[in-house]
Amino acid sequence: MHKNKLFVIVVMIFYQTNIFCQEKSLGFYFQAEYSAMFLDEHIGNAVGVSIGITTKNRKWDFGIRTYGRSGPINQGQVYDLVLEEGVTYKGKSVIQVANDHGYLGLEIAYNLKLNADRLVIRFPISFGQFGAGFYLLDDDRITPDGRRVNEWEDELQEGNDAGFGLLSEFGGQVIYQLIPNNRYLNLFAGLTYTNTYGYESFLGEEDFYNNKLRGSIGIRVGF
Amino acid sequence: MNVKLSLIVLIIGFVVAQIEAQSYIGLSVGTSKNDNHLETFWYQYQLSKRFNVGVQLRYSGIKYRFVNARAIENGNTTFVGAVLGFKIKESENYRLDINLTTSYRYLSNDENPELPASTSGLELDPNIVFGIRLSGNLYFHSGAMFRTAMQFGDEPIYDEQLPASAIVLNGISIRKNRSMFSLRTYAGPMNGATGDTEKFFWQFSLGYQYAFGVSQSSALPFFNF
Repeated sequence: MHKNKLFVIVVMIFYQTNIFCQEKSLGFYFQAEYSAMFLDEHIGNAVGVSIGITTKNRKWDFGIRTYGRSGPINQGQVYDLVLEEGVTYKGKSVIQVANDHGYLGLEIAYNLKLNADRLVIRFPISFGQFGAGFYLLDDDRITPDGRRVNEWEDELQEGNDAGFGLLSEFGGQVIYQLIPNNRYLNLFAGLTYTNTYGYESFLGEEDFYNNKLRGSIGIRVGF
Repeated sequence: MNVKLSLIVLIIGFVVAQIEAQSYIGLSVGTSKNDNHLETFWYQYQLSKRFNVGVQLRYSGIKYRFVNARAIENGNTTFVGAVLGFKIKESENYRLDINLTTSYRYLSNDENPELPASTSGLELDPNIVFGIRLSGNLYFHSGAMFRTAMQFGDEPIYDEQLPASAIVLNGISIRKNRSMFSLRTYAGPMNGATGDTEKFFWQFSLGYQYAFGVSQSSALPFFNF
């Protein structure tokens, strides 16, 4: 009897060990993206990444998401800063300024594998903090008194040239395996709905980035 | 012989003395938002299957950098850096690495006499790189870099460059026997520099790496050159 028990235990141990060996390990994903932010006055260009781990069954992603709308890749997207009466900057009472933005947050996504071998639908949500501000352009960055340009940007916008807030977004992405026998390299396209909380600056009203859509395309790599 | 030159000679001497099995030596040239041209020499030594260490030397001609957080467009920089590399996972078809490059930076300002003629600083370039074998000798690399740069001295500036978000890294490499040719690109938002900001960073580099003692098959293709 004891021999039988021992036999069963040994077999179960080998069985469990074998199962353990066949399990996939945790995965890794990295998504580099270009996105178009559908703002009120402009379509803002942004660059960013998502990076993190994927569960053993490859259904869930946990990571961070970060992207930024940077001034130099949004040429021509300028805003008029109208100075108070009697105030001028280099002889001008209206100055054109640019806007930039950066976001960093946590990301969770569910990956829905479709019957089509090379397609996955991904449903990411993200929550974190962002900041956005307005800055002087071109020759206006050379200040008339040699002081740092951010001091002038602060003064001209009543100390409120930039603001910070919380941001949440959710959406869907279609992931397409680029090469038939290589699941490590994929393309993706998606659409995200963004809400912000608590952001405000001198020129950027509360809804500047709130209640907006963001479309993105990019590369996903991982295992 | 000044300190800068002494350091360079010392590091080259060290590299020459250490060249042996499981080591790599490389040279790259490139251009970036910061520099009209930048040339990097590096040496990598494989400590174990997972860990490698290295040194890198870099010289660049300035296009847009900062002295006391004010932009200058004329001058040059010299970097002396140490690289730590950690391989997280590797299979026949992919490889995942984390690297940290820490570089001392000496900057010569040839433009604005109202600012110091030179500054010292530090650049930290942690990055994560995922490489995929596309075909026999052709690899695609994608990842992110999170650069932080600071200036020391009389006017320390600790936010000279800060990542507004990650800098996206993409590259390809072609390997043949002991040689490897690489193309690497960076692009992404960059914040910082009290009083001025980088706003957006980009860089293109072409590199060549030679392996001593082993093939390039398991080599990390390049550092943060």
